[in-house]
Amino acid sequence: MVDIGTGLIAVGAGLAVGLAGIGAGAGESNIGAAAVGATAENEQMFGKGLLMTVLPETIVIFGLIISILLYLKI
Amino acid sequence: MLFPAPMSRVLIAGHLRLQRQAIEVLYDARALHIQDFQPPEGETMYKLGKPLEGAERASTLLIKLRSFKTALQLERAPPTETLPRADDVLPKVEALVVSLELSITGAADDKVKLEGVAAELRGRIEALKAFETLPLPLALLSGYRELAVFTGHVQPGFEKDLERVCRHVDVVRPTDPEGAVAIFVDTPSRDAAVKALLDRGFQEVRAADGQGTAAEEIRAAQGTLDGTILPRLEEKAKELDALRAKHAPFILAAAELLEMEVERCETPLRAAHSPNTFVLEGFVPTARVGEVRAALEASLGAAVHFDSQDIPQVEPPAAHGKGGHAEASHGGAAAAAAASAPTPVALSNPKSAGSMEFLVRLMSMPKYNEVDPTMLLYFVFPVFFGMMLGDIGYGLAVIGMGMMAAGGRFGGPTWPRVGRGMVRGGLLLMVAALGYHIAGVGAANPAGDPALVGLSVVGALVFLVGLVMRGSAGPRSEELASVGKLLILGGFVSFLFGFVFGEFFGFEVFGTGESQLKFWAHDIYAPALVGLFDFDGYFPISRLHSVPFLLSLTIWIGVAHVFLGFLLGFRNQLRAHGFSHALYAKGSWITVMVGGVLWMRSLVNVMFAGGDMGATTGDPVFLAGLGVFVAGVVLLIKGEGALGAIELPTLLGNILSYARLLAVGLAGVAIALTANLPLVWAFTDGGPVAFIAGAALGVLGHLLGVFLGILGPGLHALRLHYVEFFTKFYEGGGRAFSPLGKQARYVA
Repeated sequence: MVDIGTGLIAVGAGLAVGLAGIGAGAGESNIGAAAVGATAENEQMFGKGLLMTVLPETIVIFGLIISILLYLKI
Repeated sequence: MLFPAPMSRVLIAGHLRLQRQAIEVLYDARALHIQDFQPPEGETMYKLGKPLEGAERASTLLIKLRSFKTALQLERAPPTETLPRADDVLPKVEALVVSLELSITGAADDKVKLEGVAAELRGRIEALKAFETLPLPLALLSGYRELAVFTGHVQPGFEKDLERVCRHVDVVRPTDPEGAVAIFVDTPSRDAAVKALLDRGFQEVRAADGQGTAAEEIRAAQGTLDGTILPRLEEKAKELDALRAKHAPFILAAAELLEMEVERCETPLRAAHSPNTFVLEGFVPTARVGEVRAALEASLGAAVHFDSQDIPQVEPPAAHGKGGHAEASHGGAAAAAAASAPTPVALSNPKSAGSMEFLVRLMSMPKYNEVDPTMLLYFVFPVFFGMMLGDIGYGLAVIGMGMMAAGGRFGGPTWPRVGRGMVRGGLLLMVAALGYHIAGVGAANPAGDPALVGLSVVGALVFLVGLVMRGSAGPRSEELASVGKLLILGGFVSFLFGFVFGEFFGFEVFGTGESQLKFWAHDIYAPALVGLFDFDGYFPISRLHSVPFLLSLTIWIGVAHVFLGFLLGFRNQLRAHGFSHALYAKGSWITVMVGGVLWMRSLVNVMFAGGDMGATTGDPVFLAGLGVFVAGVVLLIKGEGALGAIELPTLLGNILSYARLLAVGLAGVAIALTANLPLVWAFTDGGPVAFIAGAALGVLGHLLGVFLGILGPGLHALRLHYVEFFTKFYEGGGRAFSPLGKQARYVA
């Protein structure tokens, strides 16, 4: 059996990346829909649209880093 | 390779009489991208040209041929084995089109009419289905003066409600309780009946017209359908098939030849015509200018004027206004057109990089004076993909799927047959393994029985290879073939990385302990690497157990990739705008990055080693890094204003984003491990049920893993390029080079 401290660290690691993912997903969904609409009207917008859609990814990466740092502490 | 193909502006002029010949030569050369002539304001001498003679006749014939193609469903037909020759087809076109018109369009129209009648009959049968078991003739269900009729479905118990509110009620039920029921009430009670029925959930089903009962009508309609319509439809279909077999090569060849002729006839619309001359302007790749000039001279001699001017790959000085006036004075309309019309871009890369060109074009075409990132993608994308997938088995599976997507270019015509045989053989072996297991032959614990394991594994492998071989035949669209080639490349690199990580379908086949094989010169490079990467020098690198090493490795890869991006951006800015602009725009970022890497690294090392952070203030590397960083920020603010400094965290995010090379890989490993649990259970549990269930679950899990392994690493490797790499230097928005002329596919 794992002691409760380790378990809590694991839960914290999971929450870190999970909640960051929820936030980024909620943000990117609207941007992505708009990007696809723009690309449907003008093929040239694909690059810019893709770029703007993935801008909130940085938050998830920060969450992932924290998650990995916590995982290393187990 | 690293730049688009150099282009030259060309100008071709000659007497109007020579126009057709010149256009034919240029069409065959397939090297000229025409710059459409736009008569400037107040231009009196040059007008837009008129189409060549014969354009109308060719167009009408082409329309008829296209209708034949639609009627015979030849739109996507592949070219036949032996292609007809142009000289054989062209003289006969008009005569054959007239004779074919009657037979093909007649047969096609008949087919459409018959299909309409068949659909009508089927619709009628459907509508009458509800009344099939009602014993009343259809004629009795409507047309009353004293009675109101309701036909449809209603909940049971409605008779009592109706008897309460209506004076006379009569209900006729069908023998099939699912059918529609017919309710007759006297006309004065109609409204009350409607209300009562709606309260009981009445859904009306309208009765169609007819003479006999519904069952008889349905039989009659079905009889007509089966007896007359369907056989005649089959006849027509056979007729059309015969026509197609006989005339398809001719129709395809004629349609293509006429399309090309119409294109040639309409080319003068893009040229400038004076009363006696024509002038065509455009772009030809510099490498082919000599060839085009020679072709024109061979055909027309000195009668046609050909002039060319190389376009250097920098932004035209006219765009800056400095040399604008000088340029505008000589050349007039031509120079103005040159400044406003961007040079078309033809990518020049080795043929094997075709799939990467597809990816670059997906983003957008490079501009003429930009770096062409295709070769950079070609070397780095597969490495990213391989690092994320990193499994021998999954790599092979992805190669297999790539071969199926790329289609018929792999393997000869015998592959489908061999493939089918292997599929059957593989299935046979697997069933034999199962039977072997059920029959209880061999050891009770299947894991210890090499014959069983061997039989099932060999059977599975033969089955899979057979599937791939069988599925690789046949033509594919260009895009699917590109994706297939990408998958093959990525799968191959994943296969190699599988050896580095020691994973085969998630099983760590090279052992996980400390005693793995040492890579040569271990004693020399390991100490250096430990300082940089925290790598102990042992292979294979188990991904689950080497997270710190892989994390720092991927972030260093990110630093290198982004640095490369900035260098390319610096080069682009240098060429386009000069040194000072390049320094402020990209040089500042490069300085920021170098400084940032130095001081952050010292800080992070101390953080992980658990040391005293205050000690970093004495560390020379830290201080140097901080100094360089501050210098870079100053340059940045000077060049782009205070808003430029807001982009600093974006750079950090971009570099850290490369940690996904590790993260996506770990996710794939976790899926493979989960899929392996049932597989291990199948072979160790001992019962045949466990064998089948475990094998099925394991296969399902691995299928999911392969699918996600294509989607995940593929998308993320691509996204790393598009978002983190391209934004550092790429502008895109170039015009694709589309030359006049095309390669005939259906004609020799």
